[in-house]
Amino acid sequence: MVWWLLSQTYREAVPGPGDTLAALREIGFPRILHGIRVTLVNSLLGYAVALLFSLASITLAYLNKHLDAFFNALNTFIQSVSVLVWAIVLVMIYGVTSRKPPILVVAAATYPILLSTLYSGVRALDDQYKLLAKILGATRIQELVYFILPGIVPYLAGASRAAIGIALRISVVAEAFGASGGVGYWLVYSYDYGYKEGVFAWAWILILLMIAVDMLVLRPIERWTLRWKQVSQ
Amino acid sequence: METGEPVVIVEDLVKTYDGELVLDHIDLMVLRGESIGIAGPNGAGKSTLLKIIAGIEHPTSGRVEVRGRVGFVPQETLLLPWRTLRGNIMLAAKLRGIPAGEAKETVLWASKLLSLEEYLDKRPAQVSGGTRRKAQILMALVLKPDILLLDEPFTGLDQDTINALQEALLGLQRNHKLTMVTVSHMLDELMSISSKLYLLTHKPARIREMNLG
Repeated sequence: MVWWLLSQTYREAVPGPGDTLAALREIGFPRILHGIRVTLVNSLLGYAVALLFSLASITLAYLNKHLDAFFNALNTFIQSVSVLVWAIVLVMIYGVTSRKPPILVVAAATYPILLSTLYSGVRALDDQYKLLAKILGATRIQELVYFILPGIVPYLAGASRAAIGIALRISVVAEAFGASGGVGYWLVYSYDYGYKEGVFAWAWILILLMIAVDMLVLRPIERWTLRWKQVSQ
Repeated sequence: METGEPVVIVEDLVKTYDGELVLDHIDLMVLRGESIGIAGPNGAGKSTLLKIIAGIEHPTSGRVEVRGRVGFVPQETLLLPWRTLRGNIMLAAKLRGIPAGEAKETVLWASKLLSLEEYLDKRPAQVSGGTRRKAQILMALVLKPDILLLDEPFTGLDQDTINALQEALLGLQRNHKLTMVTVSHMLDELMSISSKLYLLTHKPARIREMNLG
């Protein structure tokens, strides 16, 4: 309704639902599918890189207090760098046709989210788990493997839900700057050619993609990680 | 080790927290096969004394000698919520280097004794407080302890569960020649499983033997 009203008010700038649907048909299913695939791959690879680095960081930080200070400082630094800066610098390094910039931009944007949440998880984790580890004579590494890391899985799942959502949004920005495919690329491509119906069509594709990923993948994963909190009796 | 031999020796034990005296020159000796109870008001330092014997906390001064393997049942039920009761018990065995086969054998007889068999594959959130408490005791038993240290084992349990647990603990002590040290503020419950009773006074706590006769 709001969309329809806007399209009536700003006829030159905002296409209506009917025009956008026509644009979707014109773009065609194969190109939409390819665009979604590229964006999903960029987002998930970037998220995977960030996840790997954040897990490695939290492990090293837990085992060594000097590394803890280092990763805290690194986290603050990465958090303070704009996504735009990452995108421009990485395109300058790898070039417009490379697949790396969108992936690395996503990784740089999601790493601080994951690491900060994991840090909070470790801090918030019940001291009783640590007492149990002590009672059972666990080494520092055993404490990490059997008590801390499984304990922060729910935090990781919650953070991943937010991170993947951001990854999809950031990936689109990065694709707009330097890529040869993906939803972001086609969105800017449509804009550059003044094809406003195309801009709206690709924007809707992105919105629906994010809702679908959240409902079909991220929420079930989050529920699964919290299954042990459910009381059945 | 022979029955009657001292297995827990506490001499002139002092414990302070931030300069405050908590345990004041405690002496205690527990013989192999004995089941002793330590009573006292809340906050007297009973748990601290037990944790020091278990090696979880260190004394400020004095000597603590423990001869044999210790199984410690803490006051709080400490089970990993993402593992089943069996998973928790087997993890305890693994971390203490008990072979899986041996641990499974202990789980088999001890779960029968504690009436825990049907709950072993449930997670802590899926069972009652009494069942979690029993699982915590099984977690200590799987370590094949010579000395079992129990911190407030009956707190929060209903009378039927307390009776069943007392019976199981007495059975363990008699049949497996376990040495048991139990601390509790519940004097009646303590008396029913102890052959000797000690009292910790208010802070700074001193210890004295109570006459059970």
